[in-house]
Amino acid sequence: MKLFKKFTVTALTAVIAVTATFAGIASAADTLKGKITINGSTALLPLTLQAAKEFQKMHPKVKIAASGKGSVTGPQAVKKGIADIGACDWDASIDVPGFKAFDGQVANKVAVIPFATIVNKNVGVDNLTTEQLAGIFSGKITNWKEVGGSDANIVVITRSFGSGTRVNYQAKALGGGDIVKKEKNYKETGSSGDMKTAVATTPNAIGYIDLVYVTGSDIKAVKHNGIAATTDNVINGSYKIWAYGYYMTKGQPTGATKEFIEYVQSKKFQNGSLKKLKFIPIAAMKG
Amino acid sequence: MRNSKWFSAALASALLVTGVAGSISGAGSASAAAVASTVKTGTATWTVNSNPAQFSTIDSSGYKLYSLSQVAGELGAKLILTNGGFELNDSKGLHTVQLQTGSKSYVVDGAAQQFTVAPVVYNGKVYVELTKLVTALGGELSAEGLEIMSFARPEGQFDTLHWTADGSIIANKSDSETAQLLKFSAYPGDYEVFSSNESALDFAVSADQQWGAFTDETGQLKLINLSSGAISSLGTDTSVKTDLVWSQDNKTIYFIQGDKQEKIAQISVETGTVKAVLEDKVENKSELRLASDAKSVVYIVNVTGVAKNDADSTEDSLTVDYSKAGEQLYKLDLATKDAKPKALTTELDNKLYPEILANGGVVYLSADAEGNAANTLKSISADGAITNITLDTEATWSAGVATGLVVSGVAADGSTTIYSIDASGNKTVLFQTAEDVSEVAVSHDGSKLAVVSDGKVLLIQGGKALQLTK
Repeated sequence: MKLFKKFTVTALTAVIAVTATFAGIASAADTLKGKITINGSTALLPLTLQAAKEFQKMHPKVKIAASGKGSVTGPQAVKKGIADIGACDWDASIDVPGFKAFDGQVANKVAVIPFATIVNKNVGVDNLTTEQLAGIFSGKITNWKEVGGSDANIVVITRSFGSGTRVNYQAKALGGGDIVKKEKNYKETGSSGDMKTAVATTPNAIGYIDLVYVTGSDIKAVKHNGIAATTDNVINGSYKIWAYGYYMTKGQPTGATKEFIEYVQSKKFQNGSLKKLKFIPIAAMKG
Repeated sequence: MRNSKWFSAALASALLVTGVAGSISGAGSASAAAVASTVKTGTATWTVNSNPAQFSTIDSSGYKLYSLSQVAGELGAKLILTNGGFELNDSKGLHTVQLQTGSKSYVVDGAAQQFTVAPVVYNGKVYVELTKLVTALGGELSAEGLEIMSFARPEGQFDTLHWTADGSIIANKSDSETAQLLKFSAYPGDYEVFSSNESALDFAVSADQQWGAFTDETGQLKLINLSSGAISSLGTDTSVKTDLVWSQDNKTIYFIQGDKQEKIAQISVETGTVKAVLEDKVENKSELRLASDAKSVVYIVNVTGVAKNDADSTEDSLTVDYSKAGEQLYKLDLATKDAKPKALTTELDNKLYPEILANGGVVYLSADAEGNAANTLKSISADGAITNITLDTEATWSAGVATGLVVSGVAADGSTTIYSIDASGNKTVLFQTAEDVSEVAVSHDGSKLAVVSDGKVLLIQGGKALQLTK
């Protein structure tokens, strides 16, 4: 063992006045290159872009291009060969209510996504049961007074067909119940951001969204069966409205795609940036 | 500085010498353990904590034994004569060693251990196996280099280096089961566990290097005192925040804000008040940089592809256009009210490590998105002209500093060079190595450089790389 390694240092002459630090640069042996295209879940898009930024510091010659258009478009894009990774809020390699399995695709778990029922700030209700939610989204319950609120029509905001958030919400919040389109007091949105805006700006509105988006004073999350939508309650198993987020690939991933997925699944990313973007690490659910 | 409880591995076996054997009494008392007067005596010179030290030695049963009192003295350990033998305590009070002359058994922190050769008394001095004594006291020994450290260096994989105002380096032990930040002085083996806060593994260091800023999983901004490790909350805002950047006067932290990283905001370190800087609804901002005079910021917008489909989300209708997807640099003038961000780039190359130079220019690392051409450093002048900064290596990283840039690059032979580049473009090599470098950190005053190589933390000092971890 040598405490002093055989490095050559010429001089440190520059007067450096700021801290320059970073985590991970391209290795001298780095030969990874190529383009990775990712389409699908808008909920997973911030995570994907953050991971891409970090991954490119280690592999500068890898191009990562991402887009979001709802979960179902993830495996669809992979199937059509127009994306390498399909970001999806459900395991699209198996049948789920409303969607057949995408044969030959592999589901790579990348995150845990909690969802929350949200209402406009003027709604006085702070807890809804599965039955009440199923009634609201099926159109059987139309007035807030039927669930303990004031006398006002309920405005249902839902995600468009194909949304992973919608698939999971139907399965876990509505107990498998349908979301029925209505002539009035009903709106569909195409992304998580649009959902938040719609509920925030529509009095008496109810919708659902990734927990990460529940910020600001114009919307509020309501409890589900008496349990608050919190990360802790997801991890301890008491809050049920959550799902794994997946990167779907055509067969087992290879090359730069494989390396990127492994980075997203790494302890460094899962316990670092992923948590700071308010997702839950996969490993947290194994306890 | 409190040491960890890791023990160093036994780096050298008992030091075998040839052709000499001293007689050893089997009794457990000092007098009974005395060796015959024919024993061969000598001296051995080692480096202890970077200083030379000479020890009296004897050769016993084919092994070289060292003066117990001298070794204890050089290590700073307290040596106490007890009824049954000797007790040693290391200078940090972490380890207790109990031994007896004439007995191979000894006790380390309550656990029984065995010497190869029992400690002996010769001419009134007790002699003992060096390696086992050093490691029992929590030290580290290199037989090859004849080097001893009072405290063993931590072993494992490290990353995420930060310099602090007192010249310490904070590093994340990345292979630890639980979060563990260690703080190192410039002396190998002198370190402490600085923090076990999972959210604090990486943080933005203030210009005075007294504070780090980070967010927890709720979005709450936290400050960590880089001297004490104490953590406090700053403000009450829990929106998503990334890319924290301190102002030069340490009074303000700028950051990218929002679920979709669509805003730029700042928070007062004194009051915790958050104030909007830019709300242009352009999503996916990152890599925020603040000019030293706080009159401008530069950031990257990650332009996404455009996916389209019909109302029923049919597979046939789905198209995705990635033709404009990629990173673009923007600059915002903070000194002009209601100024709009100005696009600095249009090409689709990968853009990394943007920096604002003192002259207002912007530098970034450009990587070929097709992966064919070598990475280059590009400079954008105030008038928007983009030129290459010529290096004799392929750039892998850069950071802005007061006099220009610090840049790392990889040569064709795989060696890594770290340069400083001044405002006139003059380059000075700061460090060269054939080893792989995965991370660099430069101290505030520029006098100190540290790197991570093969997961180990190396302090570049006095023309050499001093290995702080193993």
